Amino acid sequence: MIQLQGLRKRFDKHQVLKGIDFTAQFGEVLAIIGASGSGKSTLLRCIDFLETPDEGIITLAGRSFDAAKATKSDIAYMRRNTAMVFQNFNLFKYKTALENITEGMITVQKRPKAEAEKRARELLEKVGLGDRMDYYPSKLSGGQQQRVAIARSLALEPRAMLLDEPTSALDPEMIAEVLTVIKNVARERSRAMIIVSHEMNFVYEIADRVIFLDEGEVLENGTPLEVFGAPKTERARQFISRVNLSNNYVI
Amino acid sequence: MIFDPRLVFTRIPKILKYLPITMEIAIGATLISLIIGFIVALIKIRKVPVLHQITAFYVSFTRGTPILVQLYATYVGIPIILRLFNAHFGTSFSVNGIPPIVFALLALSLNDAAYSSEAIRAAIQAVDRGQIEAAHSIGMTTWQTLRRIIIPESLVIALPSLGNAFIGMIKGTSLVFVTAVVEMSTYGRQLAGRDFRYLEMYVTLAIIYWVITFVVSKLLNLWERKLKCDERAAGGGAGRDTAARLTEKV
Ligand SMILES: Nc1ncnc2c1ncn2[C@@H]1O[C@H](COP(=O)(O)OP(=O)(O)OP(=O)(O)O)[C@@H](O)[C@H]1O
Ligand SMILES: [Mg+2]
Repeated sequence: MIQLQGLRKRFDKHQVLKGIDFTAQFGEVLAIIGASGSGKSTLLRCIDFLETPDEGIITLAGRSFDAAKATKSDIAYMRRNTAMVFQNFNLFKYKTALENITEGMITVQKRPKAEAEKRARELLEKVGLGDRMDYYPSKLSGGQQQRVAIARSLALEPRAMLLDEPTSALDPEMIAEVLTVIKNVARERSRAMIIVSHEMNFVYEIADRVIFLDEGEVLENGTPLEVFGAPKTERARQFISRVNLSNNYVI
Repeated sequence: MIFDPRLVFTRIPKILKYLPITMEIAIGATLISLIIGFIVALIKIRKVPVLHQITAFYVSFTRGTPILVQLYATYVGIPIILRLFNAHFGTSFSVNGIPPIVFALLALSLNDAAYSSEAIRAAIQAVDRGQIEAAHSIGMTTWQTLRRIIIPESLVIALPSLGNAFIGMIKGTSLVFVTAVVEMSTYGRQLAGRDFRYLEMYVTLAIIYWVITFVVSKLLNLWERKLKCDERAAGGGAGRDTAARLTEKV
């Protein structure tokens, strides 16, 4: 499982995360929703140490440490065992789709090149890009780039996958293909997935638990039915009434 | 005859015998300068305490003094430092053991690095932040990220200004007579000293330098164009433009 206890993060005087607690089991899909600026990205970035949290206890697969006193080895441990999928894909632009995926396996995991390439091919097939192995990112559409990025993160066999608005930068017609890939990955149930998304239908369908974040605090934490159907707080009620969940989902 | 045009050409082969040493100095000093410039750039970016101040002083001092003075200072200064060192630590390093080319390489590369560090810094900072974060997120260490992502990308960005610096370096080698290294210019002066045909000699030298720098700049252009094609294949270009603008003055 991956667990946060009392995670806090401040930028100068601005307390962005005010003590976040949650637990996600391996195999579980946790969705984080909330208004812009509520701290969703910061939360994910703290888990991957792209931002350094100020306080809190982080636990991942049995290893637990104080985030305020994270050692180099703690940070390396978190980065190796989690993988981030970014809103803007962030593919290595001078590397082909295949090289983007093998990079981590070769440089970080020290796997032999041939083995890494074999695995990368499998992963590209899996995200439906078997015919785009040697393309540079600029020759791929946004949706294709994001699928490469998902394959890249899977290559490292992370215990937890962190997805920060993976479809927000995409043209509408490409959103579905990426969501489908994410759903397939989620169905494997072999890792925790923490996903920040504004696609409420998608969240409703895929998430086991939903967390509603508001000004750096967890206001709701429950099943999609609980959070969307019967929010306990007024803030969550307002937020959910504003996002349109399509009629297919009767609440 | 006041000016003997034939002499201008008949001496070219003789002078060209010293072309290898000229290029050795230019290439060697440029490579050393790249390493120093890179370290200085990192210190600047990271704002490493103390080192940051020291390198700022080094850059400002080097840019603010003539290269000829720096060459003399190196040539005269290092033996003195060595003697002081020997006296202090009881060692017996001999100045005569140092080949003159070392003084030339040292002075030229230190001078060049003061300029190229700025271009390298701009290039490193033009590398897209998102790719660095992606590298970190897949578990690459700072050093791995530097080696695998940042350095290759920033080299592409910095190539135009580093290429200009290399051409400057080729011309700069003509000053190393100060350190008793015999390269094309020094040898030319020695030749001219025998018959006082200085003007012919300087015309010869001018032609040779011009041809070399012309060829080198054409080659650099080709390389740049090739990289640009790769880059078009790889997308991007915005970062490069920013860096080019930032390094224009260098
Ligand atoms: N590096 C930073 N320096 C200073 N402030 C920051 C930094 N990163 C984020 N913030 C601030 O922290 C707050 C939370 O930002 P964050 O990006 O986590 O929000 P978010 O919930 O992901 O929003 P969005 O839905 O727009 O992506 C914002 O007010 C933002 O301005
Ligand atoms: Mg965000």
